[in-house]
Amino acid sequence: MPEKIYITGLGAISAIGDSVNENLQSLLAARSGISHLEFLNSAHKNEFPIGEIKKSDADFYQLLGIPSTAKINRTTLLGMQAVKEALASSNAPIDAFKTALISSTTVGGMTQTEKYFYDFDHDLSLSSWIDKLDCGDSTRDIANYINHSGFLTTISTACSSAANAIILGANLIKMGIVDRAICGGTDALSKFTINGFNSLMLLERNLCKPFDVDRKGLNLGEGAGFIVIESERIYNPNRKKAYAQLLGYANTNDAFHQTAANPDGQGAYSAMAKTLAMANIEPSKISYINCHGTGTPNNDESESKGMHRLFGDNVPMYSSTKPFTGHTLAAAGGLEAVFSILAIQNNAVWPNLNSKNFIPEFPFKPVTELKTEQNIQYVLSNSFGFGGNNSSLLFGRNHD
Amino acid sequence: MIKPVYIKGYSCISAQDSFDKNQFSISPAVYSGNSVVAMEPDYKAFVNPVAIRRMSRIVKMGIATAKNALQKAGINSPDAIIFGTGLGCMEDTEKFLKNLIDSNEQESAPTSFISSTHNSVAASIALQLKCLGYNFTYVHKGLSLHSALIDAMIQLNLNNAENVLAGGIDEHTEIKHRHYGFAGWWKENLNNNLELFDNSNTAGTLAGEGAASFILSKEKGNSHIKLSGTQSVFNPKSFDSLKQALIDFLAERNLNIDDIDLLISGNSGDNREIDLYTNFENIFSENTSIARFKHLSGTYYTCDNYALYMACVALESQSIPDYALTKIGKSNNLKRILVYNSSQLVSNVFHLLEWED
Repeated sequence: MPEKIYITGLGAISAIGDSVNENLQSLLAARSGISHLEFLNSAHKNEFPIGEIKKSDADFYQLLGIPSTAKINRTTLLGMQAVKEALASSNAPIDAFKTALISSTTVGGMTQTEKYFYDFDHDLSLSSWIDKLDCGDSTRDIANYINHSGFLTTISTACSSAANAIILGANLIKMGIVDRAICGGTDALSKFTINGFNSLMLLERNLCKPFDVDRKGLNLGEGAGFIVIESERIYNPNRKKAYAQLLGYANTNDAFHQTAANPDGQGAYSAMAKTLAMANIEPSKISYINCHGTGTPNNDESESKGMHRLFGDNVPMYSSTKPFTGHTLAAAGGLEAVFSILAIQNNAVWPNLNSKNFIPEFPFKPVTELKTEQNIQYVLSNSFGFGGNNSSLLFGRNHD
Repeated sequence: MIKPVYIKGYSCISAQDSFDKNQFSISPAVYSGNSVVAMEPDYKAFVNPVAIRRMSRIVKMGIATAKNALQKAGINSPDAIIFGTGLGCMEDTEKFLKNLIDSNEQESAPTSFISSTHNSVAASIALQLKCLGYNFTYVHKGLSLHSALIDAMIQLNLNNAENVLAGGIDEHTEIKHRHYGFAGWWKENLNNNLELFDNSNTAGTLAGEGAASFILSKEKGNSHIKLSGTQSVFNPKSFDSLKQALIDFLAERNLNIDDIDLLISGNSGDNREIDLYTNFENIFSENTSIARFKHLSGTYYTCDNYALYMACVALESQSIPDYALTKIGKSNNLKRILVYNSSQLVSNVFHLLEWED
């Protein structure tokens, strides 16, 4: 019997809410958080719809009780909010168990880097920002914020980052290196990513339409999503009844192209198939797939092919929640892990908003209206990224 | 407990003549000023010439060390690729940023955006080797390489892989040198790298860059170098708690301080870190020899990759060059080497390597 991994804490912040509950209410109301930029001053602010969180950095300093003299970048602020919530919901303080903090980010402090890049040369008052802008610094600040001094690290594997943070957390528990891990990801919006995805012609000028035949690209977003996972050794339902269990996971590589997935769906297929194999769960048992579903022509085609190959014509209910939050890059796998667990908790399937006409070559289509009163036992969550990086996670209902 | 693994092959590009070498050079490379640069090999032996032109320097360094280490190990492709990098692909990040700012977001080059991604090195190696397995990139300051190594050990211990390619890589650029200089990282008025420790009463250290790849396996095979453990100590409350962590780390492996034949110390010559390193070096008795490496490799977030390379070469050649040694211990053996490095006083790592006949 493989060791069980319990999920006892959840934390989320995104364009659809500052907490797990706010995110849940938006999902239940089919209310998207995609708007236009108000806080990040990009030249493209009116051009691309985006999942911006409507709070300034100063708002977050206040919300988190951080002194105004501290230098904390936005990616870190979002991460602090979600980590704090996840830890609090697990009903055990940080020093209660041997704990790992595993965060992930693709941009780190890029919002500041791009703002001060030339100013660093003539404004020495900015120099204390310089070694506060790399990815690892964000995790270090989050650790200090929650008084964590144990194992910590940061993962950056593009858009699969947070899923990989969860994979590492589970492996650390299996090896007995820690008993508990707080894992997920965080990314703030930046001009760097907006212009980067724009240069690759991957940004949609309207609302993104995952799996639609006319999909043109993705909407970016920002946010953070973290979960607390615990070993059987310390799990105590009287302290906190687990939200769900993490039953399987896999990371594979396409080795196909730096930014495009193999259109034959090999990467998506193998990540999902290996995940089910680890959990020893038949494909027919899956209740819902929270897809990567970015809305780019390439991703949605290869992900659909991967699902078709694994499930045949009987693909389970599936949807992408990116039309709610935008694509939050490193955070996506963390937020979507939370959404997948909420699907189990609420016996719901979140709607794939905006899409109407589906890719005709596949004999299946995503769920487009909110479904409640379902029997959601097993949920797969997919996260695929640049560099051919593919990860899947499998969550199951907790009966312990 | 996590079981030791074996290093079947290794390769390092550094400011020293290290590439494809399992011996120390007779004399160290000398660089004037407060930075050193990687001695890059001829990449044509590792990547086809058309592809070379499209690749950034850091990706080329990564691929060359990966392929070289695989050759040494006699393996075509690993089952997993795991890299650590403190700052990732700086050159392309800077290129993309400049372009973006200078054009007020009207022009941007997709190639530098793609190549700026932190996982570019590990992904490019996978692409080159057609390796469909586990592919991770850690980006956690001075813990980046440690994270990659511990994950590699986990993958092997869980039997997810037979051979793992793990490495650490960081590149230095002019802009990084200037910016981190403003933040007080580099020593001013340093004549050359070899004088780094003569100036330990002033702040700052020597800047550097480098790449190293290690092929790790659970099976001993023909290998004699064992990675017995790697441990991080984040933000220790006091020096005593760091020392205790070391004692515990060794005790878990049935060892004590006196069993260490050689300490490779990350002493940086920076007066803000000198107490920490002096105290750490003083933990060891007259038995243990002590070598330093940052005057050879320079400092970068994954510079413990050079120390690990040094440890492999020391075990294999049963030698330590005079220009690295600062203390000659009484031990007649050179079988157990501990690498200690601290980054910004908070990210502390130990790597333990042992020779096994």
